[in-house]
Amino acid sequence: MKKQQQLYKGSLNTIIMKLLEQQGKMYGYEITQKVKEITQGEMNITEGALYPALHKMEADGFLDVEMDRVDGRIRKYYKLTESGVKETVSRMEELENFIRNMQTIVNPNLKLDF
Amino acid sequence: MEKRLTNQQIDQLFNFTKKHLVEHYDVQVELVDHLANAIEDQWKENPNILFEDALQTEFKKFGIFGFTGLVEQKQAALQSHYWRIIKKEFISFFSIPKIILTVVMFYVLFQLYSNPNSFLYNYDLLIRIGFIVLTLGIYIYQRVKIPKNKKFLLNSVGNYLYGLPIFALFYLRTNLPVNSDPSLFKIVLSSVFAQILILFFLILYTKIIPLLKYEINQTELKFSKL
Repeated sequence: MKKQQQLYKGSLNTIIMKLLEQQGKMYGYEITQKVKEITQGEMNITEGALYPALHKMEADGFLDVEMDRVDGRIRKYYKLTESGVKETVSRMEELENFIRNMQTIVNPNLKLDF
Repeated sequence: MEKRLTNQQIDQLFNFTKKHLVEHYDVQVELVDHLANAIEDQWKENPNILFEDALQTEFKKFGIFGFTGLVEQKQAALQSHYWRIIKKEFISFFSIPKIILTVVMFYVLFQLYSNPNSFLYNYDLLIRIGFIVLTLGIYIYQRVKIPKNKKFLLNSVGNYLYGLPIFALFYLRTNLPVNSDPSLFKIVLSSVFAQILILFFLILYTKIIPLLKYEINQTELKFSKL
């Protein structure tokens, strides 16, 4: 399990952006839970990696922040900005290329339809 | 009935983040909500877990640096965001049309530094020291001005930006005033440095600080609506 996490690491930002694209707006804890749910516990985003990634993308102008009061607490939601949407598209393309290339390397005989 | 955190426990979480060196309100808020959600999820599995134990379990997930690494990385991200703008603005002073201003400015500085009767020639050292004192003054004033209770992370980035012109100290130490040795090299060096300093000040006070103030205002606005 531990070793696999290393493979996901480089794609953390792309994963977060893709999720935000699908969900509209999300808060930090929700993102960790959603990833766990989708990957059935295979991928685990640690808190120490998630928040720096979110803050970096916020500073880069890819994410915008919205605040709301929920259950007596203040909740900070993240959503994609216009440039964030564009960035998501180009990063997804990159990731798909990467997956395709890895497939060819790992299993050269398998033909994939994307 | 799902077990929920009491207001008192929420306050405890705020104190917990403060105890772990998170002094900025916006970061505290985010961490408190995260911890609260995580603790409540633990209670869904097992309602008998003690609040303190659940909190410790969640805190461990933040790694050995706890929250401090998080705050530092966020500061670094914001600082590099402003540096990118500074660089862009700086480059613009060397492209059309602003390069005309840059050239004129350099010419004037060069003339002043080469004229033994000019103010800049005679009081070079004094001006430089005055500049550094001014920077320190602004820096200290800005630090004192920030309200203690609700400080945002952007405020700390502001402190950093206001303190930046202190790099002039480096010049004070390495380069003697023009009138001690009025060679051409010295005059050019002094003009170039004075020019960089002026451009930096211009960018800082016409672009960066207003942008920072706007962003702090926006953050305050978002929080005041709640």
